[in-house]
Amino acid sequence: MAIIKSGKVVIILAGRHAGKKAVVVKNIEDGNSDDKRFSHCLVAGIARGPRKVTRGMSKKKVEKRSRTMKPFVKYINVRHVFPTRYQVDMDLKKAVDEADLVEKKVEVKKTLKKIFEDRYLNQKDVTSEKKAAGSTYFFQKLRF
Amino acid sequence: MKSGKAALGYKSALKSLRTGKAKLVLIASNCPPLRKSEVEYLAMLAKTSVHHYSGDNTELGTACGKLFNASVVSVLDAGDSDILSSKE
Repeated sequence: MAIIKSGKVVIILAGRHAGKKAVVVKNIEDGNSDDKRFSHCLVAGIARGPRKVTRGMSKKKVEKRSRTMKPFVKYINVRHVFPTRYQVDMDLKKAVDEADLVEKKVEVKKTLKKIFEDRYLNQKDVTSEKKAAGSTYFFQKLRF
Repeated sequence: MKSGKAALGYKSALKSLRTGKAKLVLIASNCPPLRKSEVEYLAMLAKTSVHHYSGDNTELGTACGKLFNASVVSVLDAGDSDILSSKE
């Protein structure tokens, strides 16, 4: 019963995206036979989170500042990832199709950005409490 | 420790926790607190029980029959011992 499952929020520990949060899209245990012979996972995370928003800002400004997220998609070794207890119920499998990642990565990131933004702006709509806590946690920057 | 399998050491314990193979994790008393918290958190995620061994890492290593110290030991397979059942 592995810890890293799809939908879990994880923290990236190494590499360019160290300190950023990501959601596990797919977990590949025991690796590929060819290049990655270690257990790794495909994650979709936030490279740069939405800008800070204060109470005095107009609604248009709030929306504009909330749409400044930059996502990333990466295959990452499971050792470089720290799982958290939070889960997010975004349907990322449709968005991040593995075949697309080779050629049209930019398109994948665009769809991801849209999904993340929609979830960020509509955090109240998420029903169950556990999933709402996961979304809130995911969009907050990890302070260290 | 005649029968059964255990993974000694922090790295292998993390590996066993990640794959879900660990049945019980033992942490020595002088394990650094950050590492202790990390192992406890991962064990919580993996629903693995944690036992804080009342002895330091040298004693834990000796208890496992090894000549080196081990801050973290993860039991993979109990074998004939009743360490897992007596934890309940």
